[in-house]
Amino acid sequence: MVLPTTTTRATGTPAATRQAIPPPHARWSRHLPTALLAGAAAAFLLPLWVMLAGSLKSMDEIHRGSLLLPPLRPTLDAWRQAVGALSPGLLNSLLITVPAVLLSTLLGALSGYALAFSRWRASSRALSNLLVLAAFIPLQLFLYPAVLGLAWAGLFGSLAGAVLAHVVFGLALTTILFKGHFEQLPLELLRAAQIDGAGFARTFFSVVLPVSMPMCAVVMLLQFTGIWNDFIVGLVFAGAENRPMTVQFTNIVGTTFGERAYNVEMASALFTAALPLVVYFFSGRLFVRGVLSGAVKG
Amino acid sequence: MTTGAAIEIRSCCVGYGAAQVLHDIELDIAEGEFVVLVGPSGCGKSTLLNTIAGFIDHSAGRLAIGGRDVTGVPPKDRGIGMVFQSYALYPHMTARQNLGFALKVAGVPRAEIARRVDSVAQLLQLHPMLDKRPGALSGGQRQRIAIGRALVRDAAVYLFDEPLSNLDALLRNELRVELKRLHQSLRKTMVYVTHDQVEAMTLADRLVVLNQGRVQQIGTPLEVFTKPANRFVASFIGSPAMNFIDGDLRHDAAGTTLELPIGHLPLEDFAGLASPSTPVAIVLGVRPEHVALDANGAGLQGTVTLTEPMGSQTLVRVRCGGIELSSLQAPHLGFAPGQPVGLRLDTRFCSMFDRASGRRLGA
Repeated sequence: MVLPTTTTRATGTPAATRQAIPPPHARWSRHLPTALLAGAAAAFLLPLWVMLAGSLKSMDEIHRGSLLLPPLRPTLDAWRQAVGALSPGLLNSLLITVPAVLLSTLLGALSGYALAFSRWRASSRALSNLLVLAAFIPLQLFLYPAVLGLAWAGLFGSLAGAVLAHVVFGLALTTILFKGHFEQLPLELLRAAQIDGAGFARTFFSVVLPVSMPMCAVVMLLQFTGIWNDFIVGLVFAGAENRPMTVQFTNIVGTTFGERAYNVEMASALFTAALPLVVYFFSGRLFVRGVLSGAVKG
Repeated sequence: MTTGAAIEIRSCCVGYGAAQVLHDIELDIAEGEFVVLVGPSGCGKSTLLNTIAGFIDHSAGRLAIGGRDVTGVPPKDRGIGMVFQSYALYPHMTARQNLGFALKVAGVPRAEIARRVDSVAQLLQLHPMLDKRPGALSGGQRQRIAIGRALVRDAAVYLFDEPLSNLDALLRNELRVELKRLHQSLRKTMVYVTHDQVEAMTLADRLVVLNQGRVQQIGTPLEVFTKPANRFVASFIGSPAMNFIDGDLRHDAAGTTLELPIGHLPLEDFAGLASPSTPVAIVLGVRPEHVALDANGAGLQGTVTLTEPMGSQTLVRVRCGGIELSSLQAPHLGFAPGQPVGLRLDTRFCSMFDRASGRRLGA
């Protein structure tokens, strides 16, 4: 992020001052970062192009031409099939992801707040260390007890069960992130709220949460991508009728008889990845700002 | 219980054992008084303020606000308003919402909130900025909003934690005057922490000088300035700083004399100092304004080494008898380095300290 801004700033300075002092090696080295970045961007964009082009081709064209060529006779047939097959999954994914993201963020913020400002320093530190540990244990380890627990609660094989599983599995990470962020908040701000008579809940909802919106955005994005792209929780906990898009997508890719419909598979993959892509595209700026405001006390 | 004191602090300690930061603080603050806690960084002044506010618990002693013991009482129930060094405004609220937040939390009806915010805004001339957020305001405006936020609460005691130290010099002077005017019109009890001795002198009804967690002196600014209780206070209060000269107090048949490296002074000049029976090692404290210079050479002989023009006055450094003294002079007198001068100490205004303990001797 730093390199392109410096190059634009360099080229953005008035030409007169630039030419007045010709920097000896500047011309060559100034374009090097731009070239490197362009190369990296191309490397990342190429697969996307192959997928996009492929999804607009007929199977005939895929067999005949190169992967890199643009579609000569573009068709939406593959997309029609993909959307038809994945639409129920899209709805399920939304029904799982949206509540799970909101709940895990809100609960993470609340528990992070409680931990950050706990009266009992030692125990809150011990608890935080346990949470860090928990956040990095692969969730496969928890699958069996979680299945038993949800079955006992009567939520196994339902959307609510999948949401609950996501919330529980995500809570450790969101709590740690929020705790770290809240500890960076200026002490005087919290003291001002105390003087103004705000209690624990009031301070959280009226002061701490509103000033932590960038952090909320970061955590929500993180949770959103994680939960949207999740496969195993959806497969295990959601139940047959409630399978999210990712699970249905693998069904499409995995269970073909005869000729593989590459174009449909490519369209399905793009369709499944579309929402996170759009969300990232529009919130990328917010994401970067959020990360920074967490690092440098904002 | 009620003593008429707004704040009563009795042998208050904060911290334990080696980590004790405040030692046996005794302080009574009267209703409507403006008390300034002053001292170098780390002296415990902010700790004392935060103890009054209730952010820090005292480990021993008694702390009462408005005649009520507040041990264990949370900040919000102590009847205090507070202004912080970093302003600590709520960045997501407009100035108006910042001012009204405490009242909203307290469940005051909306019309009443509007009325009280309006009257405080009137008082501090905040109206043009009421609908802006803190981010859109300058430092001085922010701090005025923060002062307003404290005043809206109609508290018994207002606490200020270095409220002006984040502002530039010009704004600081402006707001200082404004604060003093505010106190004169409101007559509310105010406790103010600063490390800036000019702020301390100009604002305070009474000064509390702190060092290393102990009260050094409590008094009006003039008392503290003219009769510093010990060498620390003498060196901390007053700018340019006081001259200190080591000497011996000797008593013999001829009377009492003060032997200094620059010469001997008869002691009759020192008001109220009891004659010591044995020689006493002392430190004489003379403020630069009480060191008179004579270009014609009358008095002790010295040489100008350095001049520091400050505009209204010039600080002249003079070498005399192996030590260097500073003297405040009118700039038009034109003292220059290398110039021989006569030097006289105005002993009526000198202070004398015991060299070992640093305590003030005499009245």
